[in-house]
Amino acid sequence: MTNTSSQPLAFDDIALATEAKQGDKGAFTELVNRYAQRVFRVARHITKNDQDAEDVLQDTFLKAYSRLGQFEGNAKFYTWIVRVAVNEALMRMRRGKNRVTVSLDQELETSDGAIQRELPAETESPEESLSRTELRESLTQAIDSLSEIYRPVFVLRDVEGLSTEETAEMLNLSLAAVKSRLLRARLQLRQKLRRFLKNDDRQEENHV
Amino acid sequence: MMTGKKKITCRDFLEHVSDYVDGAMAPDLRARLEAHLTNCPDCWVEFDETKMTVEIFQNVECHPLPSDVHDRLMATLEKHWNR
Repeated sequence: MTNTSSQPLAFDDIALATEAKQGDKGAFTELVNRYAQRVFRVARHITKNDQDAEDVLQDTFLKAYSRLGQFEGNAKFYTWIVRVAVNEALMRMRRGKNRVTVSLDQELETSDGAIQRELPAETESPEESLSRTELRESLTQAIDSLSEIYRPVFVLRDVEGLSTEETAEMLNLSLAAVKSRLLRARLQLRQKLRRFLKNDDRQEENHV
Repeated sequence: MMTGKKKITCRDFLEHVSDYVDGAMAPDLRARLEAHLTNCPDCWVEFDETKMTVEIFQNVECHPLPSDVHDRLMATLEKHWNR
């Protein structure tokens, strides 16, 4: 479970950050060990590139170390450092180092325009089984296929488990924009991942 | 946007399916969406697949941190500290 297993007590983080501020490199190393994985994952999802993600990871922790004085104990360290990582990743993309062309397929109109209705279940064989690796690759491809507008919102909300408010603040968006982009991202991903969704039981339940 | 006691349509439901999955809505709206869901198998599928999509990403960890990337990060920090 990516959203909970690596979340230590916030109090410990604050204590470590306080020690690190006072020059304890061991305390900072512990923070690195706790959050490098998640920072790398956010960076990789946003940049869609392993090398850029590594660069973002390094820049993030170097900046975090030099800016520890700005970290206030009333915030979660994870939220604080992810904000640094997101800014680094977005900046890297804006500089054009990782410019990508993505299709905005399945654009959804939510006001008075027609919403594309996705028909339920072109079911594949329930017996179909895919390895964890294959699934992970498919999930990665699915996230990578999202446009730059939707991808950061989805990653922060549904991969990293941040709240709508935290995501909005981090990306400098309104709450409504976060919700709207999250809806579109989820619907696009659902369409792409339909073959992984177990639907044999559901079909029986619904067709009564 | 829905107002008053306007009947929930499938389009309304789809606009709110994401918030519904998150449970992030006023109780009154939630109750009305649930009433629609009870009578609309298509929207039930929309809801169920959206919920499963979110869960799949929460349960499968993409991009594990390679050990060499972690090692290079620590080497960079050490270099910075020793300057």
